[in-house]
Amino acid sequence: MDTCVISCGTIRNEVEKAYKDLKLDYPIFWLQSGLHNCPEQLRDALQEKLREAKGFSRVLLAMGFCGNAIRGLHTEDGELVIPRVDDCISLLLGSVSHRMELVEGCGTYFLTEGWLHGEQSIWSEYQHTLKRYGERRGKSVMHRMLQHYQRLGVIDSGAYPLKDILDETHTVADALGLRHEVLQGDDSFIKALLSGPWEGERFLIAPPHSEILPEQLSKLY
Amino acid sequence: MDMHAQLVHAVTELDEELLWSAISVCLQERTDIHKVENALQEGLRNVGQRFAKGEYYLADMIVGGDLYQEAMRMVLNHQNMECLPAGARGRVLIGVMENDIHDIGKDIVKMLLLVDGFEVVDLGVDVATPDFTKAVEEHRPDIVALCGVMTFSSERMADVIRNLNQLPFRDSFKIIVGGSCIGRKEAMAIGADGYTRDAYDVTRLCKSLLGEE
Repeated sequence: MDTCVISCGTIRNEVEKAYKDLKLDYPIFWLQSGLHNCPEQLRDALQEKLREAKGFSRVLLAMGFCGNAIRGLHTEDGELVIPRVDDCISLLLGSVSHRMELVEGCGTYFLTEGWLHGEQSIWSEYQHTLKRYGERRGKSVMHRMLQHYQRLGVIDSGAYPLKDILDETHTVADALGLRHEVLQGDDSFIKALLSGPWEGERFLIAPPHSEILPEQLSKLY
Repeated sequence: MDMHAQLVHAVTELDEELLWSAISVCLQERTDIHKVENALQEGLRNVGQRFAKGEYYLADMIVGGDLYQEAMRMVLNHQNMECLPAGARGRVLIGVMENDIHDIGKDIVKMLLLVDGFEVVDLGVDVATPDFTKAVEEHRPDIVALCGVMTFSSERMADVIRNLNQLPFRDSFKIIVGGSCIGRKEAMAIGADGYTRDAYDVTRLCKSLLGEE
């Protein structure tokens, strides 16, 4: 079966590491990172990638439901396999339930190297805001934005040298008034996505030439 | 540039100097408050579009909302202009769904409603599903507004609506839903009375559901 992957660029480190570990060579179509702010744009970009991947009989989607951005997508010639997670963070933590346990009573802003250095990261936002609105007002705006967060959770996904970003993430946490904590990642879900088998509990499997409907998106793993 | 264009441009560009100077002319000339409000909302909508395109940050959205609020306060407080007493249009109970702590959109909606004469009961973020029912029983709102960004929030909205539909006085209030987690079709399918993708459209939606427009 001809398989390919469509992956969000934000988790490029983690997908490439899993590829290497699993010795895979399917083609990968990379989605521009930072599209999750607008599910409609993300959906359009995904649809475009699906068109590019026309001809493959199986397309593995390395991202989550992402604010239901996948709702209304039309599959092409191949079946589309999507992990039943709300977003990439849960994918990197191994499951939605584990992510929920982690954030219970502790609003957590998650980071990996990909998010830290991606487009419109929280750090570039902080610097932009202070530069544009001045220190006093800028800090007040950032405080309002992050008022429900207590922790900066740096995910050690094992896909990049964690020590290389720790100085920077400590600086970010201090500036944002968040507690810095390293959280252990879990690559089992992402590896299961890339290698199968694709059982229904963890994966939504949309047949060829079908539309993804809202009722298919109710179950998360 | 005419006054409408100046106001739109000032909010779109988050240009405070231009905004305060335009508002001051509006006050002197007693410009119709609805014209000012429409222009400011058009500017805010542009700010939202720039955010969606990745040209603005969330922080810019917050600042855009602040500018709108401050400008409308100045206009409403101006002695010679009419304004609605707070709550005159009805009471809206608003909250973000359980396990979801994204409140930028909710706060913009709240601010727009307050400015337009609604009373707002804000339940905040991460509101447990049963707490919506309790709050509706306590506050007896005219409209319940459910907000959410996270993927699972649309499911929580369906749960809340199912619970609210059991209330004996269900006919006395409307339910609206919004936020990036849900589309119009899905909103209607879970039993919402109204939907808006665009926060800036919420006052029109509420007025229309209450038979004002």
